[in-house]
Amino acid sequence: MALSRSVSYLRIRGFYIDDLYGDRAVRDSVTSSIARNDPALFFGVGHGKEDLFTGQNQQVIFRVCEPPETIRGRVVYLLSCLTGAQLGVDMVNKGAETFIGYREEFVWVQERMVNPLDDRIGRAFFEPVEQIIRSLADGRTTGDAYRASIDRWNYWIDYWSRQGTPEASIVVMFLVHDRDCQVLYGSTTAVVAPAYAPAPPPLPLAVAEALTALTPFIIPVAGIGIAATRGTRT
Amino acid sequence: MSLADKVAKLRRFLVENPAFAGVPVAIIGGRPVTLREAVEMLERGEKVREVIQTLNRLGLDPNEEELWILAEKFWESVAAARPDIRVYVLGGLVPAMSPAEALEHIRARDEIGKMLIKSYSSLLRFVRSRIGA
Repeated sequence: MALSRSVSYLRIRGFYIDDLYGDRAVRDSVTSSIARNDPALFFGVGHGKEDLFTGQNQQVIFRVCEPPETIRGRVVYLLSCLTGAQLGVDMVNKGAETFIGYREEFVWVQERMVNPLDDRIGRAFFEPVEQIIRSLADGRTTGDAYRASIDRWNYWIDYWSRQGTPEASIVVMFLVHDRDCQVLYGSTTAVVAPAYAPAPPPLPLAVAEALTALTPFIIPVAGIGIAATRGTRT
Repeated sequence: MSLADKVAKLRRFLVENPAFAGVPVAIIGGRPVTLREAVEMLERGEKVREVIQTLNRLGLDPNEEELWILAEKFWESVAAARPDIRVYVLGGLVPAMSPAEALEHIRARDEIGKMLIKSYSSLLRFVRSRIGA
C-alpha cells in the first residue's frame, strides 16, 4: 500500500501499530482496537464523505453526530476525501485533540501501476501525506507536522512548475488542489510521541524501497484503518 | 509597467515555469488561447488591452461557460500528449480515470466534470498568483 513506509517509520520510531487492514478495516475492529490500545494517533485511509469515513467495502467507521468516546483526546489523521468538511470539525467539537484531513476530494496522478511513492509523478502527492506521519512520529507537534506537509506540497508544486513536460500542468493543478484542501482543526501543539531530535532527513531511496518491499502494494482506495499507540522509545 | 516590461516579465515567467505555457487561459477572438499564445499576442501588439485584462483577472470570477470550454481544451491536450497517465480520486465518485475519460466528464458536465472544473479554476488562480499579476 501507498503508506506502508509510514507504518514502517512509526515502527522504527518505537510505536506499536495495530494495522487494521482489509477485512479488519471495519467499525467493530476499529472500536475495539481503540478501546484496547488507547492510541494517541488514529490514522485512517479510506473513502469518505463530508459527514462520514468508511473502511472495507465502504462500511461506515466514523459518522457525524455519533458518541465521542472513540476519538476523545486523540490525534486523528484521515487520508480520505471530504471528511475535513464536516466530520473533522465534529470530531474536534467532541474532544479529538487534533484533526487533519481534506475538505475536498483527494486527487493524485500516476503513470505506472505501482506504489505511488515509487512513481515519478505519484510520489509528489504522497510525500506530503507521509510527512505528516513522519513528523508526528518524530515527536513534532501537530502544527509542525501540518506545516512540514505544506512545505512538501510547495516543494513539489515548484518542482513540477519548472517542468516542460506535457503532464506537468495537470500535476501542478492537483497538487495545488490537494494542498489547498488539507485542513487542521483543534490543537496545533498536540504531540503523539516524545521529541526526537534532530528530525532526520527523508529516508534514502534504497532504504525506503526496502521498507516498501515488506508490504504488497494495493491501490489505497479500499478502506484501511491504522491505530498507533503512544510509543515508548528504546 | 510598460508593455515591453510586462512582456519581458511574462517571457521570464514562461522560461522559469514552462508547465503553464500550454494552459488555456482565456477565450480571445472566439477561441481558447494558451498562456504562451497570449504572450505572443502581446508581443505582436494584438488585442493588448483584452489580453492584459484577462491575465490580471485570471481565475477570478470566471465566466462559467468559458471555463468549461477552456477546461475541455486543457484536457484534450493532456489526453493527446499523455493518454497513459491515470487520475485517481480517493472518493466514491470515480476511483480512477484516464485523461480521455476526464475529458468525457468535462464534456458531459456531470459531477466529476464539475469537480475537474473546480480544480481547473484553482489552477488559473494559481497561475495568476505565480505571475504576480
